[in-house]
This record gives sequence, structure tokens and C-alpha cells, in this order.
Amino acid sequence: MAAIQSLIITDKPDLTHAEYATGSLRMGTAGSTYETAVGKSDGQDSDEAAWDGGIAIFDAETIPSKEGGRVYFRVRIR
Amino acid sequence: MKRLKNRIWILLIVCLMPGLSWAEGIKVAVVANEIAKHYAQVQWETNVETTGQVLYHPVREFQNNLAISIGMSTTHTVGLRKLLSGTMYQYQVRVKDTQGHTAASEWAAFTTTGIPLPLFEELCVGSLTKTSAIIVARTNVPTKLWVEYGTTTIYNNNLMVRGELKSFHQIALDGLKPDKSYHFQLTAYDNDGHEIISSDHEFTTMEDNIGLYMPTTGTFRECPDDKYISRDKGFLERITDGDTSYFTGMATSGDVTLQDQFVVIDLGIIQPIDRIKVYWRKLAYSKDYSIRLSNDNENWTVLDSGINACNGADELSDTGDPMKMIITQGGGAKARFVQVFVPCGSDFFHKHEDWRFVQLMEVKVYPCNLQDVIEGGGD
Repeated sequence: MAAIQSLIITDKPDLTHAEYATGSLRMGTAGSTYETAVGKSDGQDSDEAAWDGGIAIFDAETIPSKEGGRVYFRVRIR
Repeated sequence: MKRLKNRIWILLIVCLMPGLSWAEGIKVAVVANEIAKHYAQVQWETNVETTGQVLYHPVREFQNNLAISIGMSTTHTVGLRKLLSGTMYQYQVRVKDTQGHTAASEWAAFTTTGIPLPLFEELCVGSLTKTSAIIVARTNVPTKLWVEYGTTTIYNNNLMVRGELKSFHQIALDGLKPDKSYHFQLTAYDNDGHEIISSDHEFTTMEDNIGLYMPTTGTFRECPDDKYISRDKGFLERITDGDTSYFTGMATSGDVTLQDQFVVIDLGIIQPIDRIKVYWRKLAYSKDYSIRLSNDNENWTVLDSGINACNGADELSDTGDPMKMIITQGGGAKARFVQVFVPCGSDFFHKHEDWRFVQLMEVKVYPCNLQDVIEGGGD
């Protein structure tokens, strides 16, 4: 598997019966958990993640060959 | 029947629409919009719920860029960020449905707004002499150039090309040494100070062979009995033609066992000689020849004698023929005429018993120092 120079992950969760938990974006290594992952701000700022109008966006940038990671966000069931 | 025809037409139109493909029953319709300087949005629609990803990279350069839309949906939107301004990108959407069926759109393209970053579209050495090189560079936008060059990649020399920003540059590098390998690297700056640095390039200046194309006389007038050997020029002149090909650049002597064999190169003017390179065919070479110098083509001094080409370096000719190359140092001796002299009855290597000749592929003469050249000559 070749390295990826730029990786963007987006997810638009179904919020019919749930709502996005503000400030819950996190990014971590392949072995991370939600607790150990690094928190990211919701705004479209210089960090690698954003919550943009119902879409979670993670900009993982460069991924070396044979490496992986995890991205997280939380929703609250209504 | 009419209704069936209409359906076939609709099917054909759907299948031929750009950015739309049909695989495993999944139809994908794609569009790129909201295109800005460093951003573009790709949207796609599928006839069944899918997850998908966009592969994208600048047309001019492959990159493994990926934008993934995780959720299962019939419509997806992903934003491509940190794009290069003024750059054409190509992209493809690949989708997968809940059953694992996959489909992909055709490759499509969009161009970001703004002025593109500088880029070398062409970079080469336009012409070479013994002491100079012309570097030709073309950039996609008007630029100024910073040139670094040297005999190694440390680049001991540099220069800024003055004048207006332009897209086509010709840069002259002067004061180089003959037959020397040089490295260079360019940095192009656009009007906003954006820069692009080229990779390292290399060239070798022309060798300072003052014997090249100079007139020759002597006994190397023969030719092997081979119908493939070119007859379109004299054999003697092949000794200084810069060509070492067996077919077009080789000269064969007369019978070494019967009389002296020699070739004389007239340099035109008296010059201090640094060294002389003699290229023999490895299948027929002298093992006992002399290099002789003269200012008048009558009175000769022996620079070196008893030279055995067997002791020379193995090289290949322009067409791959094995050669023996041997260097004789000139020591600054001044001469207008250089002679390769093979005495009658001297020892020589010949691959076949019945061969009585030796064969020269080339003779090159190098001057000591260009400043020492004496104009005129003949005395």
C-alpha cells in the first residue's frame, strides 16, 4: 500500500434522532481510544478537523505506507 | 415498439453522459463545484446508498490524494482542501454499496482559480562548447531565476539572472573547463516570491580536442574486406573525425611487416601539447609505436617510443567495438604536427594470423593551456 499524500475523511451522520456532541472531534493513532486521542476544535481553523454544517471533516494529511489511525466524534441520542 | 425505442435511447444517453458510469448496477453522477484558489467541492449521486471516495491529484503530477465520505447515502459532498492555485486537477469517484458492489466515475477535471505556482515546464542544456553552456528553462508563469552550478552538487558558483520576469530563459554559463562534468540547479521565483527549485541536472563540456577534423596524411588508407564499412569518406580523415565506429570511423594501416606505418595530424598552428590519446581497435593494435612531434612536418622529435597499446585502457567505440586507449603525456612540448609512427617490422597484435595491419579508431590531441597558443606556426 503506497503512502497517501493527502487524506480527507468526511462523515455526515444521520441526525434524525441524534445531535452532534459539540467539541467531540478527536484524532488518534491506530491503537488509540477515544480517551487517548487528541481533541480537535469544531471550527474551520488550523487544526486537522472541523464540524461543518452537519459534516465531520478530518484532514489526516500524509499517511505513510502501512500506517493507519482513527478519527472520532460523538453524537447524543435524543 | 415506439416505447421500447425511447427506452433504449434514454439508456444510451444515460450511459454516454460524462462523469457517469454503470458497474454492478450502481450509477454514479459526479460534479465539481465551489472551485476556489485552494478548494474545490466534489458532489456525487448514486442510485443506491453507497459510501465513496474521491481520488484526485494535479494533472501535471501524480499524488496519492484521497477524500473519503464514510456515511451510506445516495448523495455525497466532500471538500478538497489545500489545493494548489491555478492548477488543473483530475479526479475520480469510487463508490461501494451495502452489498459490496463497487463502481467508479470517469476521470474528470477542474482547475482551481488564481495564478499557478511556478513550475519548470522545460529545463535542458541548449548548447555546449568547450568552455560554456547555455541552459534553457521554460516556466509556466513569468519568473526570475537563481542559478547554482559547479563541478559537484555543492554548487560553488551562482548567479541571479537580471532583468524582467519572463517565462523563457536562456542562461549562458561561461568560463567552464573543457571535458568537465558540471552540475546545476535552478530556482525560479514568481512575482509574489513563490519559488520552485529544480532537481539537479548535469552536463559535460566538450573536450578540448584540437586534433578534431584536422587534416591527416599517412599510410592508414586501407579498409577491411567488409561490405558493411562505409565508403563515403576517406579512411585517413576518420582518424580525426571524432567518430570511433568500426563502420564509419576506423582507418586501417598498410602492411606493418613490409614498411613503416604512420599518420600525421596537422594542428594548423604550433601549440603546446598536454597529452595525446590514441584509440586502437583492440583486435589489431601496435605494441611498439612512437609519438613524434614536428613544427615543419620534416624534422621530428620523439615524444615517446616503444609504446605498447596493450597497456592502455579498455574502452568501447561509439558502436561498441572494443578498443585500447592509451595516453601519451605531451609535457607542454610545442608542435604543429603530431605523428603516430609504427616502425616496419615492429611488434603488433593481430587477432587473425593473416592480418598484417593495425587499426586506428581515433587520435585526440589536447593543448596545455589556451593562453599559450602561438598564432601562425610553421616555423
